Amino acid sequence: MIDFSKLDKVIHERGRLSIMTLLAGRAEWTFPELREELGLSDGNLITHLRTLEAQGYVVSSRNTPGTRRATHYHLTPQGRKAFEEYLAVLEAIVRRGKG
Amino acid sequence: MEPSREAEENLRLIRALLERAVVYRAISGQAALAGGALAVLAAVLARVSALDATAGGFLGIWLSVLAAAVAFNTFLLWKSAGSKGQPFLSGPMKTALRAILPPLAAGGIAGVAAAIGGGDLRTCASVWVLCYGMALHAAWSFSPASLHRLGLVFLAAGAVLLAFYLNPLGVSWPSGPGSASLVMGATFGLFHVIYGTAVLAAGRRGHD
Repeated sequence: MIDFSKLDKVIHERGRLSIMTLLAGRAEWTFPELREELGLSDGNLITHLRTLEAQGYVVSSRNTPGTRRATHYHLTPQGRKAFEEYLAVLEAIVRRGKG
Repeated sequence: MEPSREAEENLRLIRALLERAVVYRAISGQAALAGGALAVLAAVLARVSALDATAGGFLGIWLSVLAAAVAFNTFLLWKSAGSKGQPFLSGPMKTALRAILPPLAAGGIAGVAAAIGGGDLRTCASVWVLCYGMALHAAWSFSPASLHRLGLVFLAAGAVLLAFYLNPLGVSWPSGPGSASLVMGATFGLFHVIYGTAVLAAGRRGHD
């Protein structure tokens, strides 16, 4: 029996799921790269990134502090674990739907 | 929406985004720098020695440079794949080859055929520049931004060179095979040296 409450609500939102997926697929993304890839507005993207950072799933860094260089975003180990668990629950739901 | 259907849709979204997240650098900074330096050297030697005075000589020089550059790049890609524990012929590499080989083959065949057929060697070189730019551009969706920018520079240079050498305005330009080698040295040589230097410098700073 699948426990649907295990589906991480923070990741389940489509915008945040897209961000988590991109960060899981490549070590780091800059803000403009994420914006271009996902077609989100600056405000929307920063809101999702702040939510993921607050949850401890994503961390940001600048190559040179205090400069205007692009901020890079990475998945934390906690974020990667949460993403993998989310995937496992999704796959279980699909299996049950087919079974 | 049914949970299973929603889950399937989310999995489809994840798969599609993961495919787009793959970045494959088909040309390493080291290979670009070495290949570019070799092309500059070949252009200077060809110009000085007039080895490229015939179509056969021109093709011999530049196909040899191509073979050496491809061999070195392949070795570096193989070494890089081995150090990461990945197969040499990885999925991203196959995707990259599928994108870049058609324009490379078309440009290569057209250029060689034009040279053998007695065409202007500068036009042959310009076709190679243009088609190489098309090949790099074709891989833009999974290439690092710097490699895509290099492709755009080759595309622009190829288009400008072809406009000059096909010469629809009837302007007088330097003639002779030596100019074709200079085109090769200035584009495949200098562009790759600049690209390779920039990539290696960015790598030391920790970003592309």
